[in-house]
Amino acid sequence: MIRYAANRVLGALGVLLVASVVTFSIFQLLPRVTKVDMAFYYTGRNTSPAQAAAVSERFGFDKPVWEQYWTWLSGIVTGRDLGDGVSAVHCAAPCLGYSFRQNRSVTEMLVQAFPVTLSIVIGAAVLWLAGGVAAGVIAAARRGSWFDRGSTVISLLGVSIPEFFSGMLLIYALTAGPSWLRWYSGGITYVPFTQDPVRWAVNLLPVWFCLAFLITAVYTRWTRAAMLETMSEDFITTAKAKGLRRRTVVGKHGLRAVIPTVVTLAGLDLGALLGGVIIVEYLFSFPGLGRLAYDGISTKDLPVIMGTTLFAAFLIVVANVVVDACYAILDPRVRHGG
Amino acid sequence: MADEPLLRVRDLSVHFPTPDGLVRSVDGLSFDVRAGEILGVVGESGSGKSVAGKAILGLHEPGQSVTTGEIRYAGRQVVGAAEEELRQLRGSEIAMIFQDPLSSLHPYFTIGDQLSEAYRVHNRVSRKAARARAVEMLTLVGIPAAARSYGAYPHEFSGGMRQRAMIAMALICDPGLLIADEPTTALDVTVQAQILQLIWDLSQEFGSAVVLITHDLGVVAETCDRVVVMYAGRCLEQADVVDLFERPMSPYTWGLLGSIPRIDETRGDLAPIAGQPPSLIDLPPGCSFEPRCGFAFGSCTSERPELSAAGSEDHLARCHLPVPDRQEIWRTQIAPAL
Repeated sequence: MIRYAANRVLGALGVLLVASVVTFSIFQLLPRVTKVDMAFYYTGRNTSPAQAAAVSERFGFDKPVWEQYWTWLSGIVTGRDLGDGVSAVHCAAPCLGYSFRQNRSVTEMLVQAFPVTLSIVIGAAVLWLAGGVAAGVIAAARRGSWFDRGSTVISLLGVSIPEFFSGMLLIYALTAGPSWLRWYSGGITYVPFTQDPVRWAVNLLPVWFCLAFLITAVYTRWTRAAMLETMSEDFITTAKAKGLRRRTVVGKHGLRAVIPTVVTLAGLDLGALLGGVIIVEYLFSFPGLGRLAYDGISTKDLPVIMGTTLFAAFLIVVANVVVDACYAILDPRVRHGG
Repeated sequence: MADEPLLRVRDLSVHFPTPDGLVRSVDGLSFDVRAGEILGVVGESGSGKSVAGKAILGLHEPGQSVTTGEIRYAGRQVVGAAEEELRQLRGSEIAMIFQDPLSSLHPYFTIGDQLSEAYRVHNRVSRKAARARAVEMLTLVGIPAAARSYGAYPHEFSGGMRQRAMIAMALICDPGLLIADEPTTALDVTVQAQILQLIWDLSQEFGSAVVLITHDLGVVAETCDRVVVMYAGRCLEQADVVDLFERPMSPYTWGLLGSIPRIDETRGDLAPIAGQPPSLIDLPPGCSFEPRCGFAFGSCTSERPELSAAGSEDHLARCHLPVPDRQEIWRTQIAPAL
C-alpha cells in the first residue's frame, strides 16, 4: 500500500516535470514564431531595441534554452533574484515567474486568485453532486416516469445551453431584470470569505448555479446510466431476494456501487475546474485563476500564462493522486490488491 | 388444507414483451413442492427454469414482464401480491441462491454485513445479536474462523466459500423453501459435490424444502426427491426421481439421458439431441419438442399435448404417443442403448 502510494506520487512528479518542459517550450517558441523579441513580452510595446537588448541580457534571454529552463525550474524550488542594481527583484521560494508588467510575482497573483476559484468550484461542486446524483438515482429508480422524462429534458437543456448564455441571462435577471427578480441590484462582486462569510455566500450563489447547471446535467445523465447498469447486476437481485425494502436496495446497495465512479469523475472535474473557470469568472468579473489566465493571455504577459498553466497542471495531477487514493478507500478490491 | 403442499404452482406463465415479440419464457407450468422435499427442475439453458425460480419470489419487474397463473406458498398467493407482502416473504419464508456467488454478493460490503442485513431485515434484533447469528451460520456452512471471516470481502473468498456464504445468508432466517438456481454451475468440479452435500445436509437440518434448478441430470439423481423436466418454458415430464430415471415417459427426457457423457465408454458416441430449442417468441403450435423429436407423428405438429398421467398417478408427461407405446420404445430401443 505504501509502495503503491509512493509510486503514484513519484509518477505524479514525473508528469509535472513533463508539463513544465512542455509549458516552457511552448512559450519559448512563441517569440520565435511571432518574431518579437522575448523582452517585449516582459516590458511593453514602447521599448527601444537597445532597451530590449538590455532587458534580454539582464534576464538571461540570450542564454541557451536549457539554461533558462533550469533557472526557471530551480526558481520554483529555491526562489530567484531577477535583474540587478536598482531594479533587482527577489522572487520568493515557489517562484513561478515575475510579471514586470504588473510588478508582482506570479506566485503572489496565484495565491490571491486561487481562493476565488476555489470558492466558486467547491460551492458549485456541492450543488452539482447533490443535485446530479440525487436526480440521477431517482430517475433511474423511476425509469420512464415523469420525473425521469423531465430530468432528461432539463439535462439536455443544461448541456446544450452554453454558460455564457445562461450566465448572461442570470446576471441580467438578477441585476437589471424585473424588480421582483432584481435581488442583486448592487451588482455581483466577489467578497472574500474571511471578510464577510454571508456576503461571500450570497454573492457566490448565482455563480455557483451558473457553473453547476451544466455540470449537474452531465452528472444526472451519468448517474442515471450507471444506476441503471448497477440495478441489473446480480447482487441487486440478491438484495431484493433477501427481502430488503426497495429504498435500501436502491439507496444502499445500488448507490454504493456507483459512488466510486462518481468520486472519480468528480475528482477529475474538480482538478480541471480549480485551474480556472475562465468563462464564468470572466462573465461575473470574479478575480479567479481563470480571469488571471485570460488577462495574462490578452496582455501577452508570458510569466503569468506560464505560471497559471503550470499551476493548473499541478492541480490536475494532485486531483489524479487524490482520486486514486479515494478509489483505494472506496473499493476494497483495489485496497487489498494494491 | 392438510393436503396443501408447501408450494403450489399452477399454470404459471412469465412473458416478456420485447420489440421482437412476446417471449414466452415460462408457459403454463404446474408443479408442487411438499414441505422438506427436494424438487429438481431440469432443462437446457433458456428452458425457463431460472425465470420460473425467480417468479416464485416475485422478482420479475412488473413493468418488464407479465406473470400470470397461481403460485401459492403456504396458502398465500404470490402472483399479483403487493410488493410489501412479497418483501416479507422473501428471505424469511422463501430464500434464493444463485449461479455465480461472486457477482451475487455485493463487492463493497463485507460478508458479515451482508448476512447480518439479511437477518435484521426480518428480525428485530440488535446488531450484536445479528452478528452472533451470522457467525453461527458461517460456522454451520463450514467457513473456517467464522468470526474473522465475518469482516472479509467477497473477493477474499474462494468460489466455494462464497457459495457457502450465500447459502448461510439464504438460510439465516430459517426459510421454509430454498430456491437454488444452478448453485454449482460456476464452481470447480471438486467443490460442486461439497456444495450439493451442504445444501442437502442443511435442508435436512432446517427442514427446508428445496427447489434445485440445474441442467445436470447427475445432480438431480443424487439429490432430488422429485423432478420437473422443462423444455421451452413448459414442463414435459415430472415424476419421482427413481421413476424418472427408470421409466422416463417423454422423448425429450430420453434425449437428455442419452446426452450424459459416461466415463466408462460402455456407450459408443455421445448422442446429443439434434437441432436447437425453438424460439420462445415463435413456439410451434403443437408439441414444443416436436421439431427435434424422433418419434413425432400426425397430431404432434398441430396439437399441444396435455400433461397427463403416464404409468402412475404421480408420473406426468406431455406426449401424444400412447403410454404403452412409450413404455415399449423405452424398453426396447432407448434403455438398451444407454
